[in-house]
Amino acid sequence: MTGVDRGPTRSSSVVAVAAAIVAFLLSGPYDWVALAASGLGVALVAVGVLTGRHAPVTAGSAGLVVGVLAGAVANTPPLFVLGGAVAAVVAWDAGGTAIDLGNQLGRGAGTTRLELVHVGSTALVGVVTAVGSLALYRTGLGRASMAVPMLLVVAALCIAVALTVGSE
Amino acid sequence: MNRSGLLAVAGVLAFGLGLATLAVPGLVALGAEGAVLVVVGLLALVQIVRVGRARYRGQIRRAGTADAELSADVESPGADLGAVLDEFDPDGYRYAQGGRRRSQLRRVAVEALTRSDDCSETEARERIATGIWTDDPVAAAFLAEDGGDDLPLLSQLGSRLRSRLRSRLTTESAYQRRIRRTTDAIAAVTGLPPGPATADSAAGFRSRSRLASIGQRLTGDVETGEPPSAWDDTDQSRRRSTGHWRGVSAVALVGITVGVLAEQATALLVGVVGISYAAYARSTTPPSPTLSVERTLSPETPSPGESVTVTVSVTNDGDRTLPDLRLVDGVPPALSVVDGSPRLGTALRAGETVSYEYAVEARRGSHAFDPVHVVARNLAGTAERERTVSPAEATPIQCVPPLEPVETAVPVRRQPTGLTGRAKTDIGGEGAEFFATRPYRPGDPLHRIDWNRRAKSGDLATLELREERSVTVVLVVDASDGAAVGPEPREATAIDRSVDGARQAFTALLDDGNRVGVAALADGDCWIPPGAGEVHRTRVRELLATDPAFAPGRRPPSPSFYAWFSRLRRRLPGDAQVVLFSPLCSDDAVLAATRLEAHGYPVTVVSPDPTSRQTTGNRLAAVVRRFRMADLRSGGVPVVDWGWDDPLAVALARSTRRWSR
Repeated sequence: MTGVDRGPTRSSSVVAVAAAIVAFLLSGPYDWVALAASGLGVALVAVGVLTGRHAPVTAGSAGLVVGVLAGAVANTPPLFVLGGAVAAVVAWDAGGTAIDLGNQLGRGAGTTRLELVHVGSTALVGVVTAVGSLALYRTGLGRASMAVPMLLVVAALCIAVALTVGSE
Repeated sequence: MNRSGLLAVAGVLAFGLGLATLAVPGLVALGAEGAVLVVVGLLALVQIVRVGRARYRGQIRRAGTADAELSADVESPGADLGAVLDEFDPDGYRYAQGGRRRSQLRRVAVEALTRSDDCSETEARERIATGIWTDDPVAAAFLAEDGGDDLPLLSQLGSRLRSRLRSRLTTESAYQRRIRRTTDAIAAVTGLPPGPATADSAAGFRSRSRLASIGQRLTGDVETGEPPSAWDDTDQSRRRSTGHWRGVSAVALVGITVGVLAEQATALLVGVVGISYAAYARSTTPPSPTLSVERTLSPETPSPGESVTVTVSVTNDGDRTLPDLRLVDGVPPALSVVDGSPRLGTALRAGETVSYEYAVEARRGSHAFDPVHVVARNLAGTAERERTVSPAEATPIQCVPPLEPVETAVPVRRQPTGLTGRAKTDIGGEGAEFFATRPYRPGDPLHRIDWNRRAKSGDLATLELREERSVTVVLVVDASDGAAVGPEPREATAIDRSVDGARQAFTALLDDGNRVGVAALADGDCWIPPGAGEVHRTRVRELLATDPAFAPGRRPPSPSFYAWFSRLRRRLPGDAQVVLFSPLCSDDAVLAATRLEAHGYPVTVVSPDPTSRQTTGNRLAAVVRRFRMADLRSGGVPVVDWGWDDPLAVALARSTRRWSR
């Protein structure tokens, strides 16, 4: 034996790339910018899980989010926007998990159950959010006054600052 | 409540108010929407930049795990060229870096010339100063007194230009190249075969690895913790927040900002997804796993080379599910995994047990397992806790190889005791081999009379046969830190070889009716007095297999030589002789041999050769080992040079043939 193969674990890598492709398919067809950004995103996520580095995975997922947003601005149906956003986050999470798990346990170890639980719970959070916000959207967020999104921005800001302060 | 808590509460309030406004339009009315929009947008932008920077700068942190699968690393002799050269400090005072190495190499060259060409020290210095000691112009110029400065200016310039060019093309600097060529020239003087002609990367000096620092920079976005073997206290548990979800709030911010600015409600949905993941990631309490581990081995006492199946069962004794559990079993450092993996990633419900297995290849020794390294993360993967868990019952792998004699006579020095045995003496008497003739004395047995001579000359003469008596031998195995070296990384060390040799020699000597004892040149107290019989044989077999002094897979502590030596001298019987197994990679072994010889114990050295020809440092270490062998031989101590790939019998046969010539 020459060494421990600490490459990213296979199943999570496959999930990451598959999720990235889903995000690409859901947002790409609606806009040129979306096509370019999410295409680049898929490529970067793939590079990241092949080389075992976090930075390309993060950058690629950011590209996917940009693609989804560009698609949203170009009037992609809300279901696709939600699906794309969740898929982008799942790609990021699965890619990072594959890299960390690969580094700690390597490819030779049996890790399927752990990966299933982790990716499954991330996907579940995404699906619940998507269903909830789709319901919200149908009730008429699209026609509400600007005060609502404004308040949501403030809410997001506060929570984001709280998170960055809290995790330091 | 701290700042982050307040902010979170404010965020939740704003979120609720937003939802309420959605349900009851007109609950909150905003005036001057454009200005507020810009202000909030700017704030959001600032925060996005902050989050992005935190993700970029703030590292992802995770527990590091050891390379449990691999057997421990083995250093090759002379891996640190500087350390080998430092033994040759001529006067002890410090030169500038370049000058010091050069004068040390000069010293090595003098030692080599005085030993192999039989010239005096002044002669050797003279030859080095004038550069006639070697055919290699680079080496000759490097060690010459003036450093080759009397070359004509033009050719000097040319050679400088050439060396510049060359160092640009290869990783080796001109200075390293000169050291390599000089070392090879010295090795040629001592009669060592030349090493590979190619330049080795960074002539073997430590702390110059540019490659390692580049690698570190490439993986710089991750901070990997130390494996348990590097912890101060393995009982303590460690927790860290991993930063796995750091930056997800940027999705929320970007989504909502784009949605507001583009007045596009669907983009807001992306923001909602971001918020929900940010909340999911907010849980940062690591789980506190209470686990019990059980480890079973089959077989528990394997023979060397046999594969041992290790089954590890882990039970979650806590009352909570562990969603993310990563385990690395503490494989004994000397053993390597041949099948499966000692690692497992799983989720465990309360009370559930999971087991997995892998196989290791057995090697000589008693191998205790290290505790299992456990890394548990929470469901979101944002926090992890590390700890070690040991099974209640620790069973080591016991591998005691059988004793097999070497197929040739072990060279013992001529030294009689009163007991009959098979070691040849210089005394005529009863035996099997012709020794001498002497005039007949009345009472000599008839069958010993030389009848041929009687028939020829009429004299009566008696044949004397070489008497064979038993000897008392103590086998001393060098198990000091200097002997824990070997030519191949992660393979056997010279200590392993020496123990193998001692085992074979012990069996052969004992079978021949000698009294044999065993000792180790080591920090610990490892000693069995000379003896004979089956009980003694079993005791020595156990000791040679499992004594901590010979434990493979770790670097032994360096023994304090004088305390060790006086202890050995007190124990050695007066009529004992010593066979020392040592790679001769440190001066301690040489000192031991010469001092024992001086105190009247005949010493034979059997030296497994752990040197390699890979780097300049390796070759220099081989040269220095040659010096030690030459010094021992000139002091009257026979040395058996045991090639790494040869069986002991071959090495012994070769040496005894040379001695008898």
